[in-house]
Amino acid sequence: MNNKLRTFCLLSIICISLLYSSTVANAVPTGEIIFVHPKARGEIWFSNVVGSNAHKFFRHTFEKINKIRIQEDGKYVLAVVSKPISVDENGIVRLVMARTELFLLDKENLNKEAKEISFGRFIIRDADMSNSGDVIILEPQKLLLIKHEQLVHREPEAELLLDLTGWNILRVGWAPDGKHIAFTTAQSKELFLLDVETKDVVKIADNVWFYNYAFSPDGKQIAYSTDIVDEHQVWLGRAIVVVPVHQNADAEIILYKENFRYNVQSWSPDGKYIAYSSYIDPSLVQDIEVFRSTKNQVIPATGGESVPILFTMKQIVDTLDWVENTLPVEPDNSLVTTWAKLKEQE
Amino acid sequence: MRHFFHYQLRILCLCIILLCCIFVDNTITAEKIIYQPNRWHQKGIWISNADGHNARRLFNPSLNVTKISIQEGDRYILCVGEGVGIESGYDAYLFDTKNPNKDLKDLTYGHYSNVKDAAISPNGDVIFSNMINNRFPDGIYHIPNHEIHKTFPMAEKLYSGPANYVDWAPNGKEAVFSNKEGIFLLDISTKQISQLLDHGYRPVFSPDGSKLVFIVLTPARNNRKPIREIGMISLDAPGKIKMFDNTRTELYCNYLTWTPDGKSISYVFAEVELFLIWIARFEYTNFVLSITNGRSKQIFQNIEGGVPALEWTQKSYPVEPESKLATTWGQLKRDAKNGGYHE
Repeated sequence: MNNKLRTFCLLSIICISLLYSSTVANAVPTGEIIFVHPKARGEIWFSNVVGSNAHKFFRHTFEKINKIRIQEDGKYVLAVVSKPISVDENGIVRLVMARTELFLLDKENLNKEAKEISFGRFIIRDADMSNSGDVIILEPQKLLLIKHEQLVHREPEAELLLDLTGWNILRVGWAPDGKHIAFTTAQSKELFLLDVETKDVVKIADNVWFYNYAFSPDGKQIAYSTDIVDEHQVWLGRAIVVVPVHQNADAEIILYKENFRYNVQSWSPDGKYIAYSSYIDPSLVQDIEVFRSTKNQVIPATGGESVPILFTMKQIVDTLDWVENTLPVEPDNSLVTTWAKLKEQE
Repeated sequence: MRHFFHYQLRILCLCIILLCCIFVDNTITAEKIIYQPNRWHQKGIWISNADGHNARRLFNPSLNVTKISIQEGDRYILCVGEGVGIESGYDAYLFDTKNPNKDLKDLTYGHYSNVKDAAISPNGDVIFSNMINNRFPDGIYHIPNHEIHKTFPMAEKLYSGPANYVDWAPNGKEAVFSNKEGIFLLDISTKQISQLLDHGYRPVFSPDGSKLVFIVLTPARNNRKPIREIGMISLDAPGKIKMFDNTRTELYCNYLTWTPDGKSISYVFAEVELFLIWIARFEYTNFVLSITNGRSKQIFQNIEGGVPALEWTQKSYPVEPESKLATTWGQLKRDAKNGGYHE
């Protein structure tokens, strides 16, 4: 009897310990974030969630990066980059405009030069990469697809995925299953889901701030930003909304505060948190609480209290991606590095 | 055999010479002032004699430093400054002279908007004043010495309200600060404030804690420019103000600090000069004022453009790293785990 009691007690203690440790472990968002440095906008940085080990990740520096996407099941990071074009007129070099180009970075070889895949062949509004490495390119009238097998070629070939005549689309994004693509329209501010195989399109949500949405890791939900207006159509603020990915689903506001603009950035790899950036008109920042509620934060996906992230960044990080796996940090053939070298890299 | 001993002796001599070289390189002797030069090509924090000779760079932060405060015993150098390059904003930074190879530690990380001024107490507590967007008053914060090594030091708010310049009392239990209403004493433990003067700004405690010097501004009137001059009070009789008449100036009086012996004050005059016809820049003139005879003497005449921020020290600082030179990638990886929490 005594033995049974002892075993029961022991098992209870183990269960409680396990439960407690899992609660503690889940109490804070984990994973790693790669982001475009808010001031050095051509550099891709890496950090833990808090920001305590933030440092330049890839050696390659671009002119200006608009968007990054990490291939979770592979080695690539896609960078959508603005590249200034200059022309030489009678010996005078003039900056004409910026052209958007696509580059692939190899997260297994941080010192490797980025590989360009677009070469001025496309008029790129936006692009995204699926977990398997397929790249979609949004042009004003077309949605193009570069299959992952093509990425090994010098100039990967793109195929037409969808004719977008009549649409005005600004943002595209792969669903985690790699079989669906979400896109947002500029004027009607609607969010649609495209089945890549059947080309069927279904509407998921209205009143979507077209630049900011993100799929949950299981692909069952989408978080997006939405403008809140009063009965006179006066803008009150921009909220974060979560909606299940099916037609006529009810959207739930998880974060709203008057005058604040919340831009959805990414879900945490475990699907528990949503990372967002928070802005307010500078003239309204008059006390420390408001000042601190701007910057980068995460909120539980079901709503609740926000937690600041990327502490060491003094300006708001606009572009980030959040992954679970520890990204490799050691370069080839070297187990030790000098602080001086790290400094140089930074 | 003899030849062998000669050979050994030669190697021994060579070793001694090499060792001597290391020691000579390791310390700087006889320097007295730590400062940031005014010219862009001399960026960083420098150390030199009071006459500006034997100047050399101590460390090179990516900062435009506006204030330097040195801990008694000279272990930590606290700087307030605006980040340059990929850094930005006004923050408080700590330089550990025992680990000169380590980067400057950011104490505030832009989480307080604009850190205006800061000081470090003899036991390593840090106090700083803060404004929101350099426009709205916030208050005074205290970072205890046990927090300064943490990745993100926690600061306690001691006072809510307008505060521009702050300084520790040498006892480490009180601080003094100024705002438009005058000069105030702040008790760190009770957070009680008491007004010392209804005018004056940039108050600085003497090393023995018995006196305060500050700058008095007489506003512009009758087409005359505003006048600034330095005043001093004894804390035993705060009503009795001693003004140093020969510091009266229409220039900006930018900086105030005591010499370590408590017999003199350093101050800085600043004037705007046009550079390359259309670019305005500040030129600084540095003085030392004897509080006993009230006479001023110019210092740093050899430093082009003068020095905007300085502090006196009695210590020689090592210039070589004492910490290890290498880290493993594994260590970096371990730092990356758990999102950086529980560090």
